[in-house]
Amino acid sequence: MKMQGILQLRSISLSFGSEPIIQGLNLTVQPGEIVALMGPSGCGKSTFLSALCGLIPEQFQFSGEVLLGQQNLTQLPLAKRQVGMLFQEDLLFPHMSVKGNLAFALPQGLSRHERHHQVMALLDEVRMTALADRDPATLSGGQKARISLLRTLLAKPQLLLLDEPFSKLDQVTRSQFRQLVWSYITRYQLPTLLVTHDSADIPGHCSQVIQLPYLGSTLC
Amino acid sequence: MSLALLSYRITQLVCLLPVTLGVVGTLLPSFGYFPVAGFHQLTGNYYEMFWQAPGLSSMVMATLVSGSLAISISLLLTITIFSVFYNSSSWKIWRNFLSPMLAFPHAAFALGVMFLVTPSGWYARFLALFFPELNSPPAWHTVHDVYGMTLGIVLGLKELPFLMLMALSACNQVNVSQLLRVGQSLGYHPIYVWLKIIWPQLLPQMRLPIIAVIAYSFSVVDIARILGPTTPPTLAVAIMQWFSSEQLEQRLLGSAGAVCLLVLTGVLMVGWLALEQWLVGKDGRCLINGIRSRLSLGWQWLAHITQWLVWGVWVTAVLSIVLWAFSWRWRYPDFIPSEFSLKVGLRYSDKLLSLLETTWFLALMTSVIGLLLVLGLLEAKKAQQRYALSWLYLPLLIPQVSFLFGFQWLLVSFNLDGTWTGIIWSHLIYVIPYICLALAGYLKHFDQRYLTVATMLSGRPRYSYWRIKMAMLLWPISFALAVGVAVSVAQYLPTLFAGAGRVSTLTTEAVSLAQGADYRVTGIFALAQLVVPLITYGCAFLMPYCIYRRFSMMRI
Repeated sequence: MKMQGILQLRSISLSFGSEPIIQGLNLTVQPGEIVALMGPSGCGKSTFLSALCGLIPEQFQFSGEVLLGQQNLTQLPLAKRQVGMLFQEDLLFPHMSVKGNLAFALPQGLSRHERHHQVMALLDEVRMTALADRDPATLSGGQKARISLLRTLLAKPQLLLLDEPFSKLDQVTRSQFRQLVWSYITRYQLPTLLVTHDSADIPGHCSQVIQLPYLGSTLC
Repeated sequence: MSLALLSYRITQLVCLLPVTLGVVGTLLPSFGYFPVAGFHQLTGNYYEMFWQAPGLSSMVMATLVSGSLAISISLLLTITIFSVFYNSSSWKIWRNFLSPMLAFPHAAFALGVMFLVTPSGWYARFLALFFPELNSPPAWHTVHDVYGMTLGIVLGLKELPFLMLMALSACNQVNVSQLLRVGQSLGYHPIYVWLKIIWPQLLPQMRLPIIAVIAYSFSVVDIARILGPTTPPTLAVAIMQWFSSEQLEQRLLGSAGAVCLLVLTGVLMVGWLALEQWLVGKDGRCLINGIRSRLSLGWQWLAHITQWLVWGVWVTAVLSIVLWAFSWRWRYPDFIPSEFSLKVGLRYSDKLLSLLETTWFLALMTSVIGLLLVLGLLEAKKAQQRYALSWLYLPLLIPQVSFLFGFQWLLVSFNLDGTWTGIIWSHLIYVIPYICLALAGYLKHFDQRYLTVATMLSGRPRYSYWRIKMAMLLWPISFALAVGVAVSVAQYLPTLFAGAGRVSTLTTEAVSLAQGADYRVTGIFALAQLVVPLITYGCAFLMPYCIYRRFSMMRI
């Protein structure tokens, strides 16, 4: 098991026009640790995660430093940040099969056979080999969520960002999927930032919960 | 400079330079300044000559009647079809056939209608089945009529699919189903909900397409040559004749006429804007008079009859082209040819193949270049703001004859007249705006998070762009490419001006054949002109279907 780096946020500020959302935030997330960001809809939670990926919407201003292990991510383009992100929607590519979606996350330079083997091995591990050739649109919500998670992990990210990935699932699937995500975070020792508006999504072992205020009042 | 910004700048250059310099290059000769031909004296004489041109009032009258008929018919039919048939069983047919109708080249459609309505046309042959007195062709002035009424009707029918597609796109900005529910809950018949609530919101959104139809209808040359009045012709056709004259002074007269046509079109556009304000102005009297369902049954009947008439004209126009193309002997008053043959087609096969090759080459080159430029320009940040791309549609708002003469001189000064580069450039001016119209909505509504996820997973932004974004948008992209091909195939005046008479396409040939050639030959060329965009549209639908038939979210 490869040990991941520590995520450090230094003097992070995010504002919407002249309205500050976050000011001077300092945060350290250890490998395998989960930090949750809570707040009402529209308070800027998802924008904050996007900003950590280097994707800052036009009306927003972002400053501060994002460090992952020894690497400063602040100026790196998205493609080089080695960040994995799960959204509310599964965002499985609709023009690829389940196998194609997973293979897309594998590194360059692998032969066709190696790609097939790695994808099938992963699907076998989660007992989903029967889904390999399926159209993603035909999967259940829970299956889509799991494939989306596996796809993210296959790319071997150094940091995991979760943008309300449980909110669209039904009660039973939601609980099962949460357990699966927590187990993978522990297994791969990924520093993780979880954004949610539902306290039930926050795991018992979550080390820190940061409450984001309504847009207009500021988090320092 | 990023690739997107570079595309943005190149597109600006490609679309705006010909229009701006073209207008200047038409304006200066109209005042007697035309140094290449030895005219250096600024004078207003050519405007005087224009005002004294024989038959000017008839030309203006024919232009006004045909143009007004065209815009009225296309707009009223669009309003009626949406108001009466929205989400009905007929609606599916309309939606499915809008793209092929749009792809139908103007000249081919005009030739098809000509085969129907001439005194010896298919409609007269049909009537002759029931009325023996029609056993010899009647003396009807159904084509080349003095006021250009047939021209106006045909233009109106041809512009109908364009306005309907634009209305469909405008419907995306308005919650039609919700408005229909709210209106009906207040006791309004659906037709009145459309007329009083939905159309007042759609019309301002369709301002640009309507103005484009006005500009086109009042300055059209190809259809006017096929169906319009001849002595004197419409103003745009007369201007073209002056431009084509060997006497250089006539060309200056043509410039003066082109400037006057530009002013006339401008006045008509302002007139439409005023009418639109009056029609949909806040709390307009007819909007709040409380009438909820008066004559709605009559409207429905009228709409059904009109719908069948429109479909009838379109279907019979296509059939008449096919029949003439393969007929060998078709004497009047026979309803169908007495003998079919491929002889005519085979006799002209060499010429047809060479024209097909030229037309395909031009259409594909123009569409691919146009598509790449539009894809790039739509990614540019500058293009994301509202109205940021308004300049792109400028060529559609200016009569072709009012700037193509000036553009020709721009090409001459760069030694580009009569070259492929020159002709492709002249087609791009029109192909780019239509590709942009076809594609902009899809690119705007694409969920960028797919690209974010793909870039995170692969670590390769360009690979992700092509493999995910472009692949997911394959259907709209191939559709936009087909639109580009159809627009390029239909270009008549740009090919004539930029080609300097050295390059012929199926369209230029079909239009010249319409003036007196054997109907069987004209039919063959009209059919060939029809085949190019229809094959392209077929491929545009089939290719994504074959590639993605397994994936339900990718189905059309």
